[in-house]
Amino acid sequence: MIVETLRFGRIEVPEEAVVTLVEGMLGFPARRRFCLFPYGPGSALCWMQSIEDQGLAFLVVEPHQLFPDYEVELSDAHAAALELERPEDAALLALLTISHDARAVTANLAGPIVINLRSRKARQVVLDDERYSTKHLLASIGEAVREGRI
Amino acid sequence: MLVLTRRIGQVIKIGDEVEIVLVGVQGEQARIGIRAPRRVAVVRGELVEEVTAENRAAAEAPEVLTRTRGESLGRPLKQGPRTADIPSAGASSRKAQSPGERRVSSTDTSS
Repeated sequence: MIVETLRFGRIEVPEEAVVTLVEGMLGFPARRRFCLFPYGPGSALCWMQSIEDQGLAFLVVEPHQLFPDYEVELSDAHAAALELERPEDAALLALLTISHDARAVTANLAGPIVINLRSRKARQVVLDDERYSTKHLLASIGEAVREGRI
Repeated sequence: MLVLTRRIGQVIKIGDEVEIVLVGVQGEQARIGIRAPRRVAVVRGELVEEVTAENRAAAEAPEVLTRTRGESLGRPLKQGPRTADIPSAGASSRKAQSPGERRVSSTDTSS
């Protein structure tokens, strides 16, 4: 499908790269459909671009790549909303926040996006887990962003 | 807002399936037990506010990247990403929650 974006212009994305949020993301309740594509060749990061809002895009990363021990305890409420029956059908994404001077990059591990890979339905889940905060500093990625290596 | 006064051990029922019990009070903190079906999501309000604020910050930040690295962004995607480009499964683990009531600490005993 063709998606109009402010940042990337007019882009073509395959249908399987589109996810539908069963509820909008917190703070963006009306934005339900997003497409995912790599930040750059070989990059661990992805863009999550709104299909309904040309100007809305998030940088995301599969959190296991940066936090190997990361685990999400998904409540039945969330699993049911996503029609998720098996853990292996789930993928996780963490949103990244970059400070205005691009010096600090943090990952939000307290509010991951859970995707059902079979149905491409997704939901942002708020974790009540003291191990995870909304701002986990990513020192190595911050450096890579500043040096343009990412 | 309905405000109720409860003694320790007393229960509030919400509908047929949700029970809230005041477990204990210490100074300004109240321990509250919640018994609810697994399909009902229970989460502390301030966590939802924190994630909402972080989402807004995350939506702003990439503009910095566009300025910093304008040359490598803004290119149309020539080839669609493969399915494999989307993070694969196996990243999550779904653990069974321990049975029994979930407890949430709150500083507000009256709401």
